[in-house]
Amino acid sequence: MKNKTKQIKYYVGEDLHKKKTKIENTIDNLKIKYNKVEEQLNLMFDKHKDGFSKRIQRKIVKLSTNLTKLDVTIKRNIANLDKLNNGELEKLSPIENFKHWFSHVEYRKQTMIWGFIFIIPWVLGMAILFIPSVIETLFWSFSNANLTPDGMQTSFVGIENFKYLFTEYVIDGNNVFSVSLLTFIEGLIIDLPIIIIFSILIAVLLNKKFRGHTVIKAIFFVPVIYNLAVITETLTGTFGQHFAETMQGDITFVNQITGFFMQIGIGDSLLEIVLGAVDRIFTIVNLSGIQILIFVAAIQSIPNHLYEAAEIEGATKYEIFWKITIPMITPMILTAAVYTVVDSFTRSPITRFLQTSVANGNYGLAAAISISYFVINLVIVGIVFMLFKGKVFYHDEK
Amino acid sequence: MMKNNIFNKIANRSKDFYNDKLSTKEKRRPLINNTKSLGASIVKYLLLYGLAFIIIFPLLQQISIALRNPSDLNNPLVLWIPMEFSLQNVKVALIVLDYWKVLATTLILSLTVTILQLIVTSLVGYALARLKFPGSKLVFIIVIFTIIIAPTTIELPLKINFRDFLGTGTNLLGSTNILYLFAATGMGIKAGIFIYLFRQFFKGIPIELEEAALIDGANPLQVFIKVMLPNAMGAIILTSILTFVWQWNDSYYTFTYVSSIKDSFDTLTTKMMGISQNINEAIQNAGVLGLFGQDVSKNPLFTSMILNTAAILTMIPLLIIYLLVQKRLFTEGVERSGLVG
Repeated sequence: MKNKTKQIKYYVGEDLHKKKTKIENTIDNLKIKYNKVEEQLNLMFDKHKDGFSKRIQRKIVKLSTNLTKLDVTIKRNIANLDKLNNGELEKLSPIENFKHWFSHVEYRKQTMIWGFIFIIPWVLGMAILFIPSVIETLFWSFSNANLTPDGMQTSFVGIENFKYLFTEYVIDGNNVFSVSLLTFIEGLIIDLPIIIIFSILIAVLLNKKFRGHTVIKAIFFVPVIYNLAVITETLTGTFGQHFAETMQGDITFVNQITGFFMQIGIGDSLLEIVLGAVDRIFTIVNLSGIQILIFVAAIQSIPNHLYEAAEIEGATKYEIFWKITIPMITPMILTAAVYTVVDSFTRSPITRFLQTSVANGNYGLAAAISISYFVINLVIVGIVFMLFKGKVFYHDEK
Repeated sequence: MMKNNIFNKIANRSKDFYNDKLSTKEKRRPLINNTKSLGASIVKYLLLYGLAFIIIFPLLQQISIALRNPSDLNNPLVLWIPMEFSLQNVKVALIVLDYWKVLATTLILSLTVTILQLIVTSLVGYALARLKFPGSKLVFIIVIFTIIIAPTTIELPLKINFRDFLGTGTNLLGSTNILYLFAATGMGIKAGIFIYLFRQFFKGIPIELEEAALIDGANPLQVFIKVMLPNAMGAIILTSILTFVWQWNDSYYTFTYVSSIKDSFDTLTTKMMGISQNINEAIQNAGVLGLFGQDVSKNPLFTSMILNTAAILTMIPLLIIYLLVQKRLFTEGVERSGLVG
């Protein structure tokens, strides 16, 4: 403990005199106010002698609270005056004065003020950077925008941009916007359940102790720190192909298996989906890092007594998984699904269209792409929400 | 005689086995269960170890490439294990990447962004979780919106805004201050997700802790710093690691707002992107071609080899940091992170 001796300053000489008149003035003012309020109150009592309606009651309560507050303030000031006369009143710096005042503010209001202080940087960001930009983009998407040295020149054209975008927009010769959008959404719809199921499975497996589980666990989160662009380059670049060619044996094996399933009559389309998923296993594993993280945390937080109770009742592992684990992690399934959707859009082919239209100086169209991008995002997230609505279970729900 | 004996033995054995373990349903159960669990664990090990291998495969490949001698390129016998180990690739890649200088820039940038983002997101998360103020619901909705709205949506208006920032005439484009500004105003990389994470986390901390501190006369700021933050180590670790990694690997923000305008500024990732687009020129500029014979430097595998080595060099610092914190990440970060409210 530091032994801090605090120097206390008192009012003396000139200061004392000034302070004294100041306090006396405040007391006078307060007294006038007090009298006024009292008068009002008396008036009200006189007016409504035969009983009060609810509104009047409330008014009276308010006035009397005011009265009490004024009374307390006056008394405090008088006490201060006494102290001052005895030479005992502390002289506070403006900061201390503020602290003193702040500590007398109602607790509820104090937390409110702190809440506002805490979000100041964020509010600045939103107010200066985020919200104006979103509104501007929205506005441009409905207009013909041209970049000039004095800023953006716009003229309103209605939904022309969107019309052009979805019916005619083509880049690189044969890349149609609506088609690539559709392909992308199809891919997402297939990927989403695969990623979610896959990460739940892995999270469940990782959650139990097994031989080498620390190492495997560490490896499973390596995708989080992978730079996917760099890794893909490694696998598909010249050297990657060199490796792949040298280790070609597995490809004939896959062909044989596919042929076998075709012959025993499993549908083409089903096989295509499965094969597609197998082909993309590397991508899927690498996209699931965060989701696995979420589910591992979710499963860890399920109270153990639930499992114990189920075991005593004779539930099998299968039943425990479906009746306890899955319901308990539904909120996180929702979170993971939303994350997957949002994350997938950052890698979507739409980015390419956006870049091209910006490069061509067609800013209205670029804004239209951005807005449709956002709307589609919102719709898919909304659908995911609707699917889970009512099925999500919050265990702290009261 | 002998043969008969053996057959008899086998017959007796199997009869015993049948009587003991297969004859009735009751007796069959343990055997079936054992087989089932054996099968399950085989599948489990195959799946986990196999997938772990798939994940780690490119890394192994890169390490193997980085350590081989360029003269091994024309040797068909060498695929995984180099005939001669050499660090020559690494040396060339270090020069091509301008490694140490760029590494220092990247480290400073990532660290600063991480710290700023951590402060802002934790403050907002705490305010949303515990400090009830009017409009907090609106704030939460906007946070969710910042998660859903892609950064490209607001790229253009922001660029125009930054060209003449707030009418002060300063052009922020091309300076790292933009990235710091983003991080400090809750608009950094996926800041919305971290705000959400902190909110969930602080909601999970028992309110009694806070009340005790408040009764002792602490104000919310003191409570936040002295009581809540030490209890929120999990969320802090998770946020710091993810922000750091995402900033390190980020090409979008850094490229769009800084290095596409100011050529001399590069992080490891943008530098990597730059050289992978024209690696030949980069190698020529580095002036290292003279070190190798024609047969090596003309081989298309040579440039790919240098690229791969450069790629692993950009990832190695991250991998080292990850290995150092991984244990804490799992025991404190993931398992107690309160991701679940």
